[in-house]
Amino acid sequence: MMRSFTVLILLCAALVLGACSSQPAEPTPTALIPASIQLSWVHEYSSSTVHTAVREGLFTANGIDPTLVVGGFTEAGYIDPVTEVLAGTVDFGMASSPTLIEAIAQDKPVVGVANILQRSPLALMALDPSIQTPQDLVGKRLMATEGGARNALNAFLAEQGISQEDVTILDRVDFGVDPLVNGEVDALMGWRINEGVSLEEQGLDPVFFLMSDYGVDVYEFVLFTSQETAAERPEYVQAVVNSVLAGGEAVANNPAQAIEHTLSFSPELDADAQRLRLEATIPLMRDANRNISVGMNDEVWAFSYSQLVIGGTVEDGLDITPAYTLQFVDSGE
Amino acid sequence: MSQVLAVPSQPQELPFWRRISFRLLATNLLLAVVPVVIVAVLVVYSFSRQLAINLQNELTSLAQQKTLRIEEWLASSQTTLEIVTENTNIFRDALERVDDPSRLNTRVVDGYLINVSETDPKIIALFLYDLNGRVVSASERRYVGRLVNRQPYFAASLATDDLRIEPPYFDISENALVTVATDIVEGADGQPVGVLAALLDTETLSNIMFDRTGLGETGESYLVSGENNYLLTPSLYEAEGFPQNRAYTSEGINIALGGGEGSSRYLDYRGVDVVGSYRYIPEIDSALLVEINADEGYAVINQIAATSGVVMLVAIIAAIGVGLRSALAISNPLSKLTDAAIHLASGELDKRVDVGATKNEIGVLGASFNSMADSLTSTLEQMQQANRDLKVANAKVREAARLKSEFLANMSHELRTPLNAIIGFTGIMLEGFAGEIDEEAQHMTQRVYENSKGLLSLINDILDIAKIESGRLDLVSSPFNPTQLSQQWYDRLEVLATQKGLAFEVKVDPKLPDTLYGDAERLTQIAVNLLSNAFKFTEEGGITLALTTGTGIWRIKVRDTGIGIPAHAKEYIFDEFRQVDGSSRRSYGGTGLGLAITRRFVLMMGGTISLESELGKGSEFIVTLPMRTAPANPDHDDAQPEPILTAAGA
Repeated sequence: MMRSFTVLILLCAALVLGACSSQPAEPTPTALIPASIQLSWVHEYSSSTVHTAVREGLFTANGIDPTLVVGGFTEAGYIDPVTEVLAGTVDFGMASSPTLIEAIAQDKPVVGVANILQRSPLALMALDPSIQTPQDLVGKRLMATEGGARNALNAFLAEQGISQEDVTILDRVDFGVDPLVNGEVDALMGWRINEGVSLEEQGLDPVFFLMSDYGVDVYEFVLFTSQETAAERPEYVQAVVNSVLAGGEAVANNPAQAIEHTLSFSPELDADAQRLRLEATIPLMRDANRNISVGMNDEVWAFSYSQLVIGGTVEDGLDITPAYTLQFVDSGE
Repeated sequence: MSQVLAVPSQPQELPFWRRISFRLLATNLLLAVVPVVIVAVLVVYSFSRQLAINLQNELTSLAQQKTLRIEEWLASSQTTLEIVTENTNIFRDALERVDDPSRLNTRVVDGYLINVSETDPKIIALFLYDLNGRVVSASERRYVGRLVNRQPYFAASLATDDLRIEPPYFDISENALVTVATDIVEGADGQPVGVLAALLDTETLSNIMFDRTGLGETGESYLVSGENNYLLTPSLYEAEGFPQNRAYTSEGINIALGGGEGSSRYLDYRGVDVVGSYRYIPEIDSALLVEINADEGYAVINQIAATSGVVMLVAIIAAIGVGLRSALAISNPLSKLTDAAIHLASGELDKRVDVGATKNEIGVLGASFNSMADSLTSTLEQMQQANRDLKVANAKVREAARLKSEFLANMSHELRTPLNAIIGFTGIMLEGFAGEIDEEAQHMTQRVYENSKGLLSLINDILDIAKIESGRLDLVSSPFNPTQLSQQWYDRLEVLATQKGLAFEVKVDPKLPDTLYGDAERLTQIAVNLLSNAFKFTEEGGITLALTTGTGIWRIKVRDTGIGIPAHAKEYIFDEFRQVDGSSRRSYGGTGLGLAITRRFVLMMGGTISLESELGKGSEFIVTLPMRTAPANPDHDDAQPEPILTAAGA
């Protein structure tokens, strides 16, 4: 009798608990904060970090409702992320450290809050087997686009004690590698993770002089926002930065999956080509401690500024500290 | 409590689980197969367990061997680097005079480093960098001028005086997985002035991992970086979508990278069931895993299990076959016996059992059964013959009885005619209608008259018996009023009560119906017989006649306070010509036929008669008869009948 009673009690308890557990949990009303990010280029591997963060719900996990705005060129010209952010069209943008310093120089109140690539992918690449060291470039034909690449090449040559008179520098007018492959030039300035992979895809075995290996380093993918937003909504900015960092870690953990996320934004992309470029990118996302990082350091910002000064883009004596803040990130090494 | 099984008249199809053959078979299987299965399972289990342990031990041994080879490789590389760095002076000179445009010193060092790297295949390149991380000399010219201050090993290389090895990492500049060993170069003052670094050939790691000795078809060994869970060495299954540069996890990887080691069965990074041994190698911050697909690793176990399964299957089939044969050897003869018994029971006495040449108990049982059937047949034939004889004898007896009864009836008729004449005339004489007779003649006439009446009564009784026995006495069914009938009985016998000074009381249950159906004449004969006997054997006290009712019945009860009837006489008192004993007849007279006739009538009416008596105190005869009308009210079953007629004692 007692046993039956106990069983009955347990049964009732189980029914009650079952009824409780079977009720759908009340969703916690968490209002997601919208955040739009202006990409610096079209959807491709270079934005896999934010693609992955979106697709894997990493923004949402940080209370952010993200919107990615494709960048690149339109009929009206290049979509300038700085302009878009300051116009309030978007909340965040992606740009290089020199670009943000230039903006500061032009009194455009933007500030870099995180950095996706810890090292610049810019490299001088050569196919001539006689070119093994920077000194071997003496007397050679070098090609670089105007602006940042040309500035970096100049800095590299200066760093190696090579006079510009000892080399022939040609302007690069397109984004291909044909001039190098065809022997029109002996070395080409480009991204290790893009043109460099293109050469490897063609079965070539180029020698790379990674600019960052020679102290020529800038940040190519800096997440920035308006100084007003950074100052008035630090938690919001921090949430976005954390989401991007989580996206970077997810990319490193599974590059193939990350490319699938990127393809979900732009299905016409060549998956294998994108994957190879992303895999080449991931080592650049790691800091000196090998960790995926969105950190920055003053040295690179200072070097970026020096390049602009040398190139005559900005005047010397500019206070560049408003161009970036380490408030939201670890200091990069 | 024993349970008697009814023998079926026809052979029945039993459910299979109730058949002896099934139960014998099940028992056979239980006793033969289950132990075999249990033993086989235990053997296979323990054998499999041992094999699994052996397999894990083998894998662990392989992991140990590979670990030793890695450690030897690292130690050898370190030794090389230590030997190289013993030439501190030339490195110090190169570092201190790096600004010399001629680079004469550094070229000397370059040559030395080239020489060392060419003679030691473990080292891909050697390079010397200053405290800022700028490479000032190298075995390969491409390193000269580089800044390594952003490389993972840089800060650590300056932080220790000891030779150290940077765990493998992917160097974008090298576009390869690299392992760098570094050793500090001290200046004359003992302070570090630079670092000599050796780029180790990580192909050695791959070669160690690619050594598939003892790994069968599916086995592999690989290293997983503690930095990012990437594969330091390619997967055997890289072409199946498992590139190096992806973070992988598995039980083995997780335990090893957590600093643990062991061996077990788990799902590897591909999600494949493997047996693996895993351990952490701190020098390269990596997990070493040696695994083999469980299918292959346990192939022997699976084969043993499969073989055991086949053996068990064969054993089961054999057990079923043997068990079935044994079961049928027992159940078939039993079925035949059962079938024969059923046929025998249904009267087919010629049915016999064919149990073949079986010499065992079943054969003996079959033979015994056949012998029993023979005996039964013989006995039955004898009984049938006896029955036939008995029927003939019985018919003769019946005919004789019929002739006797017929004779008695005829004789009674012939005797009653003169007796009636005698009674009539002596009655006339006693009434004085034939003239006055003297007292003596009166007395003699009176005796003639009474003896004649007694003789007539005897003859009537004999006639009734004869009629009953000859089947010529029919009962009528006509309505009568039991109360009135009892009153007639009272009127008829009241004179006896008066003569003997006895009380005579009649009680009739008021619930007794007014009208019953039956043979009132024979009922009167029954009641008068019983009452006459009561008066006859009662000398003091009284007689009570009671009519009572019950459910569907009614009763005639005659109670007296007479001499009573001894217990032994109750057994035969209703037989013809029987009284309690000979003295009774002499003392009380009577033919001994009254109660016999009474019982016959009662039985013919579908009733019963019973007797309760105590010697010296009286008797009560109870006639119970079916109620041939609507039943009386059951509420009054036990109601005491009310006296309606009472004869006061004289």
